[in-house]
Amino acid sequence: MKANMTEPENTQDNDVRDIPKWERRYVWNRPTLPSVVLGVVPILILFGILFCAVPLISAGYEVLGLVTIAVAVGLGGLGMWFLRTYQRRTGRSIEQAWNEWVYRQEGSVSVSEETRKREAPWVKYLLLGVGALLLAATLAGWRLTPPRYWVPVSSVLVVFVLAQPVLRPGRSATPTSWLFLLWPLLYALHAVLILVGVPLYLTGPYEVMTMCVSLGVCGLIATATSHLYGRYALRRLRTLAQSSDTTGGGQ
Amino acid sequence: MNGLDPNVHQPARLRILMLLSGIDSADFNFLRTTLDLSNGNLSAHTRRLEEAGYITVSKTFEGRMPRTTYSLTKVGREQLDEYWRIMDEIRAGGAAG
Repeated sequence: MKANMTEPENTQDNDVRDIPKWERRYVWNRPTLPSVVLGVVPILILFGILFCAVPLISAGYEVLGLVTIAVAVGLGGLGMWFLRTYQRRTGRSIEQAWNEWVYRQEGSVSVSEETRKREAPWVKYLLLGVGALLLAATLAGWRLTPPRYWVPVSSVLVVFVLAQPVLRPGRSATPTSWLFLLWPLLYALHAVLILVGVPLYLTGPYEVMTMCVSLGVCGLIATATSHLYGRYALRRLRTLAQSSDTTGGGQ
Repeated sequence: MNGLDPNVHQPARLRILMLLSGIDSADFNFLRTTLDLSNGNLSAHTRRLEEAGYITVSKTFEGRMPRTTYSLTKVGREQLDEYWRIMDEIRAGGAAG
C-alpha cells in the first residue's frame, strides 16, 4: 500500500531526472537548421557556380568558364574574410550569433565543456592530410569517370568531411547532433545505389549537377530530421520542466 | 525534513538546478520560457540559489541589451547529487516498509 502511495511521486521524480537528457537532445539538435542554412547554402551556391563552369569550358567558352571560376573563388574569399573579421570584432562566430538570433525567443544555452572531448594536436594535421589525399583522389576520379559516377567517386570524401562535426565534438562553433550523420549516410547510400545500377542521376547537360542535387537533398532530409527532433525534444523538455507546483515564489 | 535541502527540494528550484546540470550555462530567457515562470518568480528562485552558492550569475551586455547567464557551481552539483541520493534512500525505505 505504501509503495502504491509513492508511485506518483516516483513518476514525477523520474520525469524531473529526465530534464538534462531532453535538454541535451534539444540543445544538440537546435543549431542544425540555422547552421546548415548559414554554412551549406553558400557552399552549394559556390559549387553550383563552379559546376556551371565545367560545361562552359567543355563547350569552348573557356574565358566565360574561367571568369565563372574566378567569381566563385572571389565570393568564397570574401565570405571567409567576413567570417574572420566578424569573429575578431565580436569574440564569437557568426554561426553562434546567427543561432542566438534565430532562437532569441527560446533563450540562449551553451553546452557543457564536459561533452567536448579533447584530442591531441597531431590528430588535426593527420585528418587534414587524409582529407587532402581524399580530395586529390576524388578530383582524379572525376577526370576518369563520367559525371553520373561522381557521386560514388566523391562519397568517401563527402562522408569524411560531413562526419567531422559529429565525430569531433567541440570543433564546430555550435554543437552538432548525431542525426547530422544522416547526411553523409544518405549520400553514401545514393552512391551505392548508383554503383549497383539504379539510375538515380540527372541526364543530359544536367548530369554534372547530380552531386550538388544529391548533397542538397540528403542535407535537407538530415537537417529537417534533426530540426524536427529538436522541436520534439523542446516540447518534452518543457512538459517535464513545467509543473503545476513550480509556482509560488522563492520562499 | 529527512535531511533534504530546502533550497533544492522546492519544485521550481529543483527544476532550475536540473536544467543547469545538463549544460554549461543558460540565460534568463531560456529558464523563464522553459519553466514557464514569471520574471519575478524566476528572479526570486535564482537569487535564493545564488545566495546558497549553488549557481553563479553573470551579467553582461549585448549591444544595449542586458543579458543574465546562470551556471551550476560545484557545490550546487554536489547538493543536487546528494538530494537525489537521499530521495532514492527515502523511496527505497518506503518501498521496503
